[in-house]
Amino acid sequence: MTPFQIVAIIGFSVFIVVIILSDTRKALKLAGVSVASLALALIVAPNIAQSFAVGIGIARGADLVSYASTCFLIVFSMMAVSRYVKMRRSMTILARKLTLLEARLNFQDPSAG
Amino acid sequence: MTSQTFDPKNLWVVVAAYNEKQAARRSVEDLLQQGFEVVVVDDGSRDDTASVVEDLDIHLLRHPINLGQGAAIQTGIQYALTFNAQYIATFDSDGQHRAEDLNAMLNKLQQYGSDVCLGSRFIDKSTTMPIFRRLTLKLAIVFTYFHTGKWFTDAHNGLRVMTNRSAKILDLQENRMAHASEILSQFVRNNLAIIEHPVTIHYTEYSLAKGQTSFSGFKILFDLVISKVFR
Repeated sequence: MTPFQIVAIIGFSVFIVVIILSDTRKALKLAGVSVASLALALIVAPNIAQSFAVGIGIARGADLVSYASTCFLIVFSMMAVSRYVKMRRSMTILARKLTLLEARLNFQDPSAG
Repeated sequence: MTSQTFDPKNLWVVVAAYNEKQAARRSVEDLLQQGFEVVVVDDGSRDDTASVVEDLDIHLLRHPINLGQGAAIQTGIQYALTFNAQYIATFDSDGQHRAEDLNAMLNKLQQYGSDVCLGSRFIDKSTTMPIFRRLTLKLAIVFTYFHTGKWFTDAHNGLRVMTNRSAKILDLQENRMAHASEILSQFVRNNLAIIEHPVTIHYTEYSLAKGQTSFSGFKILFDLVISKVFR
């Protein structure tokens, strides 16, 4: 296992525990701020990526950014799908309630249709 | 085994319809001729499907938006249960199903004291279909075995008759075509007594064009996996 793998596994594990144990919104804000700060640092001093990559066993800074982006995309996609599934369920419940209420009103008063 | 005289009004038939202006009226009229109580759920149709059936003696429900056949069936079942329907059936609106098959299915359900009677197009040879469709449906049977642990002769048939108790157990979360697999899964998980009965499916150019494609199988699988992961 390369140092990058060890760091990534520890990092994501901590992230998951934080999400589970704490207020999700705060944790997401923290994650967002961290990612933004890191991006900022890489823009200001692009050599940081290269130095860090070499330090943890990845040959190029560009590869490090690519790996990190992939991990981020996977996590983000899963969160987006989870949110979509929850929203779809809520929408279904709401639409069904409306449908049944309208049907009940029509049944009681056919002229209301 | 005994046969019972049966008031057809005790069977509530739920018909989910989406953009079925062409076929819905004929399907519903066939059901009304058999004397059943009919619930049509217009699933947010854009072709004004409701207008071709609203003058009939039915219960017409309208989803404000398109949710999917699974959602429409659940809505219709919930509605029928508010009237304490003794038996509830599901029936397609595209003209593929025969209303008279419901009588035989209900008789069988009562004779065997079962909870659910599922229609099957593969028990007898009365249904002819394109070979690719047959192959896809056979694959669905294998998939359903791995999903539920039970072999069915036809795992994706929209013709079903169930008792009031069985209908109360259903709580469909799959809005779209994966609901067929979910229905079987919930029936099996709740140890309901399930039997099958041969039914005839009439395939027409119209119904084949509207029906599931081979790609639908992958979509159904995807939906089931997503539901399992993001419960």
